[in-house]
Parts: sequence; structure tokens; C-alpha cells
Amino acid sequence: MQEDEILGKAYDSSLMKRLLQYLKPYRWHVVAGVVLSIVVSASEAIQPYFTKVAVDVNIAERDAHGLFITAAIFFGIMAFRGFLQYVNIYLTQWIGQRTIFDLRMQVFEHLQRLGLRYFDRNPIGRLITRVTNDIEVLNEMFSSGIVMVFSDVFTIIGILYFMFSMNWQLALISLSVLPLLFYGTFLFRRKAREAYREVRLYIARINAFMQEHITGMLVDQVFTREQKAFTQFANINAQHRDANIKSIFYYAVFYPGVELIGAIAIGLIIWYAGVDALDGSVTIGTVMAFLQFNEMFWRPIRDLSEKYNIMQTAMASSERVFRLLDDQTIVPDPEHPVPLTTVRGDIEFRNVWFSYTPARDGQEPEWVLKNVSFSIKAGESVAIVGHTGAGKTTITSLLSRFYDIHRGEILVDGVDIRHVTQADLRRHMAVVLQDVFLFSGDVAGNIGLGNDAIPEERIRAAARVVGAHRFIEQMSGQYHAEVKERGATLSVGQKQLISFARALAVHPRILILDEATSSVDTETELLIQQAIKKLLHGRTSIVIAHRLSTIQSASKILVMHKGEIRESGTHQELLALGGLYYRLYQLQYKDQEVPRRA
Amino acid sequence: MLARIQSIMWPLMFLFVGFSLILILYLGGLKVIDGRMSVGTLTAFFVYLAMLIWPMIAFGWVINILQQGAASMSRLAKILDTEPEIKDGPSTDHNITGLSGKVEFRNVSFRHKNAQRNALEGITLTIPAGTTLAVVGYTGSGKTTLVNLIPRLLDVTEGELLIDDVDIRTIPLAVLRSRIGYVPQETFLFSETIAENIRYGGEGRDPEDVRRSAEIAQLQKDVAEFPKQYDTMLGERGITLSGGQKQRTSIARALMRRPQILILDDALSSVDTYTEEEILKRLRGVMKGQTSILISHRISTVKEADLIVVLNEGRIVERGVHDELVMQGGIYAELHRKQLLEEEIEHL
Repeated sequence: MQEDEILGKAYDSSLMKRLLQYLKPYRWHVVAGVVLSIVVSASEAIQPYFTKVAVDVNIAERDAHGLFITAAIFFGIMAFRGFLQYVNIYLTQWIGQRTIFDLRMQVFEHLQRLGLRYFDRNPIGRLITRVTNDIEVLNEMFSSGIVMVFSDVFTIIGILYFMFSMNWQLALISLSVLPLLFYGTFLFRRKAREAYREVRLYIARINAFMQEHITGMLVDQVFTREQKAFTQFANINAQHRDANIKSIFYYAVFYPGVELIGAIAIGLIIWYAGVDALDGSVTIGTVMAFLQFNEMFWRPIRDLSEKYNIMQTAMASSERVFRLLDDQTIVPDPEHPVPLTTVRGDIEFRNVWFSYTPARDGQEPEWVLKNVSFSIKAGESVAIVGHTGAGKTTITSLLSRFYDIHRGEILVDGVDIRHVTQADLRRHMAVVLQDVFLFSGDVAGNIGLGNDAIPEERIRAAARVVGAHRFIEQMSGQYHAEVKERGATLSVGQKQLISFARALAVHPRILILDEATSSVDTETELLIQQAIKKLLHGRTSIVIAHRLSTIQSASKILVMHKGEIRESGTHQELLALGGLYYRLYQLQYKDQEVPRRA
Repeated sequence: MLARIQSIMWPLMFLFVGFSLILILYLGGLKVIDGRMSVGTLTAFFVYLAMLIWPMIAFGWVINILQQGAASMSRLAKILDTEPEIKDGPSTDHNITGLSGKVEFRNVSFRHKNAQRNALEGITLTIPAGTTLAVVGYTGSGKTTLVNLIPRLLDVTEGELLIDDVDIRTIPLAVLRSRIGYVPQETFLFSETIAENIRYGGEGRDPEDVRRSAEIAQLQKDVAEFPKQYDTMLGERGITLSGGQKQRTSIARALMRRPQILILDDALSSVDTYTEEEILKRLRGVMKGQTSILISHRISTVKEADLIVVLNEGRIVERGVHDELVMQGGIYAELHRKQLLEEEIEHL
């Protein structure tokens, strides 16, 4: 919040240069927009000229027909201008939307490339703000900022041109109030910005206070602190009110002030014209035209000062967006990757050391894995067991290369996984996580995950193998049944079966399975057990196991404890050993035998 | 679509303004030519028109704001019109100004709003003033619901809950709650200083009480390590405490008010066993004459309690002291066995 509130300068050439890059694909549209702006501005600035002609020529000569012609031409130009302005605004909005589309795609693409380490560090809320708020601010700059600045500048130039060519003395007279206006605007902007910042600060405090006390309402009530909290809130609320009143005060002074300056200008015009008109050098038409000029002049000036604010926030936003785009917390692909077209499925961990926190100078980092070595032959199934926090999930994350290890090697078919591309590596792997994440879309889409290389036949086949086919067939719409609210309508077991089918559909050589601990009914449990058996059949697999049946069928069990492999072997061997596994078995798995015996 | 609407708005407005200008110029001009109007009047009309433009735009804008305001107001009204369900009623006896701490459940059942079944079923239980009750049971067995009835965060659906032998509803809510020290399962601290957070439990007491409470909750050593000691800010603008430190702050807050009834809802789960032992020892000292209710998953926390009840699916399924329950071979004994094993594994 605080970081997001800092406003910097309104123009930063290096940021601007980079922002303008996004306009490059649409440069001809931008040029068209600028040209249109010039025409629209000119046709606006010319309006008072027609007033002058109508009054000084047609009316003075009592020429009704001429007046009609003038009005008609005037009308024609107005209509033409309206049309062009429409085209122009549409065009600039179009450019803005396109540019923002590109930028948003770039941000999303970059987010997808960023390593998990980045997401461990950056809260989701902040990232969402980046991809929504900040980009929305930039949208405003692209669509109403850049091109419209030209429009305002041209309008001012156009008005100045016509004023001076009509009567330069009168032009100077009516512009004589400009320094006053500029000074007033400058003062107001500064004061209003300060006041506005104060208002935002208090609004943030009110929100924070509300949020905290609503979240902590239980504590508030149980400690009978309602009255005290109420007084505290009254304080903050009063500060907010006063800050608001202060900012309103500036507005209340500024707008009448501008009116006053405008009135002074009008007074000067009439006074000068009145004196001068006596000798006939200033006509009534000229006076009317100048009154109109006077009215038209303030809008682009006000607009420009507003654009200043837009630019200021846009610079701050673009800086944050670019910082995100420049973040290099990615797991790098090798420059000359070893191709990995087919995989047998041999896996080896060789003296692997790993920590989630980077090593601080001199100090040993907090190791999550310590000197872990093991190997799995192609087609074998290995179960990892151990207490929470023993490092089980870390092993699977490292194999898929979501993080890079600190020391040692991880080999797939004898090749260090850092020597192949991540895409190649993960193509041959499937990961089934504890918590099944379903996307919005239909069932088939959730199994195939939108991969065009997976035909629907293969999706159905996969669902049939894991036993998900039956319940999918029973849904209305079957494979095209919509998955609502991340699968709220599906049972836990059904979601798991879908995730099994999802893994199987990619025909992986290596399977990583993090078994869910949640309990399901006996029938579903049997389905899941059968599905797991089929899933593991014939492929290399690493299973973080919670089911006794899975453990017993594994070719090898690794017992993890505090980041180390303490024991390994088959179920029977480890039980006979009477060590850590024996106790874990007593604690976690033994109960599962009871219903079967009964 | 939106771009199209926006892009047509402004040009249209300028167009209308322009048209009215032309109309005045043309029709007014004709009158001037006919001699029915002076040039001065025409000029004045010009100026009037310019003055009219802004109020016309503002008018539409104000109507829009009014509509939005009405919609917001009706949403706010929904909140403001919601009556609090738990409050003092006609049966409240305002002569009651204190508690001694005896708690008695008489066949109490509780059902959450819109729930299918009772969260608590037929609870009968007496906790004499000055004793310690421990509640154990699996997640979702109703432990928290049970203790939430005591400070009336929830009201019983059936049966009676008595404090000091009178119905809980006759005790003024403010009196009841101010005599209870409650440490919730999920620790919640405010973004203020540590001292403020502890003082939250008992405004206006001796500043020494903050130190005393922190000492009992075994927080004083942690605080001593912070540069600003008790004035250290917590939360977003301050430091982040560890889970255990938060829980101990929360306990100190509850002790600050020298409560007659102390409720710890699984409030030692993030504290290591040694520190837990130290806290419990001190609590037994200061809570000698008062009632304590402990919810825990850890046998070590509850084993010294005067009475232990085991909840399962909202019912009391076992009750007794530690040794009796271990002998019974039920849920408690199973829990005990598993925890011994776990400790063993931890030491391997």
C-alpha cells in the first residue's frame, strides 16, 4: 500500500522510451490519430471566426441569405468536426486497448516463466494489483493520454493563431490574465495534491483499521473492547473528514478563482473594445468572437494539467510493471540443451543438497535436503515416507526442476536435468498433486489441459483406465460437462480420479504422485487404489505415500527424516529392521490394516 | 463496445453545444437584421449560452451520482438493520457485577444455523470454581463450540448453561466477558505495540501487570531481545512474531485482566514442549482460585487437569483423570500411545 502510493515525476525519458516501444506496432494508427487531432483542433479554433463573419458581415449588411450561408457552412464544419472527433477518440481508444492487450500478455507470459521461488516471495494480492490496477493506469495513459495531449496543444495553438490574426491588440489584452491563471493553477495543483495525498493516507488507515477489526472481531468482542475501538475509529474517521474538507476548500477557492479570472478577461475585452470601438477599429463581431475564444481557451489548459496527473501515476505504474517484467527469478534453460526425445526413466539423485532460502554470507543455509542419494531403475516404483517437513515434497519439486539444487546432481537417464530444457524434461513427466486444482471449463478440457496433441479419444481412454469414465458418463453433458467453481460439485474422490486421468493422458514415462490424505468412502477408496496400481504400472514413479497398499507394492521405500534418507528397503525388510519405519508404520499405517482384517 | 460509447459521448456533446450556438447566431441574426433585436442582446445571449453549458453537463452527472448513492445506501442499510442476536435482554440482572467461576452445562445441545445436525449433543458437565478442565478430541468434534458458549460467542440451542448457579443469560454480557480470559485458536494480534496488545485485555491496570502477564506467558525473554522492548510495533508496519511468540502474547493478553475463567483453545500448539511446561506451571500458580479450561491435542498439556473430557461428534465419550483414561483404552489412550511414538521418532 505504502509503496503503491509514492508518486514520482511525471516524465521519465527512459521509462517513456520503453513505453513508446509498445506503440510501435501501431505507429501508423498513432500518426493518423495525431493528424486527426490537428484537423479537429483547427476546426474547433475556427468557430469564433464564423461568429465574427456572421455579425460583422452578414448582420451588419442586413444580408439574411448570407447569414444563412454562413450558418450552413458553420453547421457543416461542426458536423464534420464531430464525426472526425468520434473517429479520433475511437482510434485512440483502439490503440490503447491493443497496446494494453499486448502488455498484459507480456506480463502473463513472464509470470508463467518465473520460477516458484518468485511466487514464494511475492504475495498473490500484490501480483494481482500489478496485472490489473497498474495496467489499467497505463491503459488510461495510452488511450486518453498521449494522443490527446497533442490535441490539447494544437487547440491552444489554433486559438492563439486565430486570435492574433483577428486582432493582435485584443489578443494580448485577453491573454494578459494568463500569468495569473498559470500561477493560480500551479498553486492549486500543489495544494490539492498534498491534500489529496493526505485523504488517501487516511482512507488507507480507515481501510486497514476496518479490515483488522473485522478480522479480529472475536477478540474485540470477547475482550469487551467495543467502546475503545469505537473511540479509536472515531479519531481516524475525523482525521479523514478534516483532510477531505481541506481538499474541498482548495477546490472551492480554485474554481470560482478561475471564473473570476475569466470574468476579468471578459471585462478587459469589453473595456478595451468599448474604448476602441469608438474609432471603429474593433467590430462587435470581433468582440463576440473573442468572448468565445475566451471560453474555449480554458478547457485545453485544464485538460493539460489533468494529463499531468495521469502521466505521473502512469510513470509510477510503469516502473512497477517493468520491474516485474525484468525480474529474472527464473529457472534458466541451458544454452545448448541436450535433446531428450525419448526417456527410459532411470532416475538418480547424487548427493543432493537443497535449501529454500539462499545462503547468507558465510552462514550455512537452512538445509531442507542433506546429502540425499538414491536411484530408481526404469519402470520401478519408489515410495517416500516420513513425517511432515521431512523433505518428501521437496524431492518431487526438485525432480520436476521447479527449483535448482545447491549441490549434487539429479540425473534422468544419466543426463543432468540442468542440461535439458524444462519443456523437454516435463514433457515426459506427470505430476499428481495432493490438492487437485481444476480450472473452469469442461471435464475433457481439465483432463487434456487444452493440449491439442491429446485427442479426445486419448482423454476418454485415460479416464477409462483410471475408472473415472463411469461417473463422467453419468454427468449431464458427460465429457463436456462444465466444471463449476473449481469442481465444487464433484466429490474429493472424483476430483482425484480426474487428476489421475490428467496424468495418464500425457503418456508419461515418469510419474510423480503425492497421495492425498483426505479420507473417502470405501467404494471410492477401492477405485482409487485400483487406479493408482494402473497408473504406476510400467513406469518409473515416485510416490509420496499415505496408503499402506501403495507402500506395500513399491519396489523400494525411502524413509525420510529431517532432510535425510534414514532407511531404505522393502516393506518387509524395513519392518524387520525395527527402526524409524517400524515406528512410522505403527503410527500412521497400521490402522489401515484393521478394516481389512475385519 | 465501451470504447465506442465513450468515443461517441464527447463529440455528441460538443455537437449539441455547437448547434445551439449556430441556432442563436442564425435566428438571433435574422431578428437583428429585421431590427427586432439589438446586437447587444445577441451578444448577451452568446454569453448566457456559454454559461449554461457546464450546469447542463453537471446536471446529468448529479443524477448519475444520486442513483449510485441510492444503491449504496440500500446495501449499507442491510448491515445497519441487522439486529445483534446475542445481547442483554429482559432477564438480565444488572445487580451482578462479578463472577466466582463455577461453570455448569446441563444437557446442553447446540446447532449451528443452517446445519444438518447438532454440533454439541447432550453435554452435562460441572466445572467447580478453581479447577481445571481439559477437553480433547479430533478436529471437528465440537471442542471450540463448547468453550465458545461460555463467553456467549454462541448461545445454547437446548439445555441450560449456568455460571455461578445462575443462567448465563441473566449475567450482563459486559460483566461476563470482562471476567473471562479467552485465548482463541487462531491468534489475532493488532498492528500496535506489544504492550498495547497485552493491555488490550485490561485497560487502566497497573503497567506492571503487562510485565507480570508476559512473565507468566514466558514472553519476557523474547521481548527483552527486541530493541524497543514492549514498545515494539507488530504487524505490517512492525515486526512479525513467530507462531509461538504470537500465542504467548495472546495468552499474556488474556492474563492481563486477571480472569475468573481462563479459556485456552489449543493455544499452546506452536509453543515447544519445554516452554509449554513452564507456562502451565506458572498458570497453575496464578489460577489457583480460578477456573481454567484447556483445549489441546497434546497429552502433555492436559494430563495434569482435574478433569479431562473427550469429545467425539459433539458428545462426551470419555471423562476422568489422565491415569483412568489411559487405562480405559479408548480414544484418549490411543492419542496417548501415538504421541509417545511421535516423541520417540522425533528423538531418532
